Amino acid sequence: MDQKLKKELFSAFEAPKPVKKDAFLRTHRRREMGNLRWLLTQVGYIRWYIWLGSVGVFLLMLILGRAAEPRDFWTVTSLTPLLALLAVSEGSRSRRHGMDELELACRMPVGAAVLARMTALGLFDLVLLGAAAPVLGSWAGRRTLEAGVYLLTPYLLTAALDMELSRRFRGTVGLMYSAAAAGAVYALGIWIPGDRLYRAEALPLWWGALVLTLAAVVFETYKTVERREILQWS
Amino acid sequence: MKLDIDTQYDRIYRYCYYRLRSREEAEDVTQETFLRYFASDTYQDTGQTLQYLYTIARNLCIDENQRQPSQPLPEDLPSKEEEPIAALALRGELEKLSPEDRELVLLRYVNEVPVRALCKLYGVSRFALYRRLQGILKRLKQGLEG
Amino acid sequence: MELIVRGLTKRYQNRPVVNNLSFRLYPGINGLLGANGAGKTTLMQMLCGVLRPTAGSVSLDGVDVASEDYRAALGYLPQNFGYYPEFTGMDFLLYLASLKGLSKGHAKRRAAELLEMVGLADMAKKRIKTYSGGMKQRLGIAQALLNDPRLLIVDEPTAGLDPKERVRFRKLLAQLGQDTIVLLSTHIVSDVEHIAGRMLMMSSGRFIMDEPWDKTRTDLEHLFLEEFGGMEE
Repeated sequence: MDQKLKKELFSAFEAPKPVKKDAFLRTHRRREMGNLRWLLTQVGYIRWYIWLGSVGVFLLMLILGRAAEPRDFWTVTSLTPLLALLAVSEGSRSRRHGMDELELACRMPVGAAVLARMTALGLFDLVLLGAAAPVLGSWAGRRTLEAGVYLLTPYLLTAALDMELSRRFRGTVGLMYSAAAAGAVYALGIWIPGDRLYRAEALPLWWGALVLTLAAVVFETYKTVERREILQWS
Repeated sequence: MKLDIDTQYDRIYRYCYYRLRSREEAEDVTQETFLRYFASDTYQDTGQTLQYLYTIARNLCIDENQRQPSQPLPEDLPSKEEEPIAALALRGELEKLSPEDRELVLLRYVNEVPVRALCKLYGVSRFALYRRLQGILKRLKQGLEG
Repeated sequence: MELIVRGLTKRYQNRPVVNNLSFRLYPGINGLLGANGAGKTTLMQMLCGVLRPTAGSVSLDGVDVASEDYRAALGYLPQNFGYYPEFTGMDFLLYLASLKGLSKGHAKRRAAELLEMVGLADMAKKRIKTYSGGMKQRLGIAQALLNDPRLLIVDEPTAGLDPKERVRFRKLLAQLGQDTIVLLSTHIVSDVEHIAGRMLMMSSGRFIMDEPWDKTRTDLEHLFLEEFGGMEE
């Protein structure tokens, strides 16, 4: 089927231009993209360096873990707030850059787009942490599950705090507060002595903290996603 | 459901015009086709959607034609005001094809309906469809060169 | 086609910024005049469903403002809008087109069409950072038209534009189809005086004027100054 023949066929079957098309489509246009495809398109808008940065944090954790003194070993978990900061910052981008109002007036629920992006990053982070846990665990002589708890809890805590802060404060201020919160969680991990924080007796407390922070993240995600109006400036 | 409604509207309209020879009727049937499609809420992949659209359009065209005493499938091509000489040759060749083959050319090569959807629409196997299309192309090319 | 607004109210700390407004809008250009702080933006935000009213309802041909179908028919150009810093004009339009549920093919076609229409075709691949104020506004109106809206809400589109850009913008708006409901708010009389078929004037959350407007009239400025006394730019 060469192009010339195709063009001629086109011409042979040509019809006069329809006149009612625009009016009809205007009134009756439906969703043109399947839901899954649309969600994936939204995920595609995550900036590439966020993915790269997340991998970087992961590698840094492993490097520091290798290089750290045994008693300082678990300070590597204090890097996980940075992961959370990266993920949540993608979710609050539109407000930061003044696209909030435009997006909310669009047909598709913006919350779904934000959820898609945060879920994609969240899952990615989970994979990274899931890969780090057994490695770090074995270096410290602890079980993988235990290592996982130490890694996940500060991550979830930071994520919850950052989501709350970026809803309360506009623009770059929100981002700065979120970064400060991540820094605070990091500092907490450094400041409390490692042998107290990570001793075997403290593990049940960690599990409790994990459950609480998980609940907080679920709550914050819900609030972030279900928002259908512009936030009043504070 | 990655359908580009804009493009498909044009294609369904072209198909309807080919069958009905009236811009107004073709537009009405096209819109009716899409209204019925929008009213059905089922999730379909692109192939099924196109088969569905063309089935509705075809049936509506048949209904429309039954009000007039003409053939179910047109014997010729729509007439045009000016036609370059080269196009006349093609037209002649197309009119030599059977009405079913001519419609197939419209759907496959002009409207770019995927083979899968066509198979479902006509109820034939891929193999049979390919054979038929190859046969049509061969005849067209021979007719144009010979 | 009509937009029906009933008892629309917005209160902040018990102060009504929009006070129990009821009105209907029909296809054509409807001008909304008022001084800054009159409540115009708050009203428009509620008509776009981006701000929840304290009381009242908004519906377009029976479709409530909170529904997806309403937003599917809506185009909005806010008073201030931003953009992701890495975006070019085309990126911006394609991104919003995806949020408006347009397929990729349709979005590309529509974006190209609109960029041409607003005279930004040659700036499409350049970053919005490099755009002038007038260009940014034109991009704004382009995004509002992506989904071929039946209801177009434009909030103070000419603020900060030079007179030449203002004329250009006015011409663009006047071109819009006869079957679109356009609500255009401004505090600059000349923006709407000769293109609007209906004039509304707002003051302290209430309408002090709501009547059909004859485009050949030239006394709008006088009426406006009478009410707002020397607030015109």
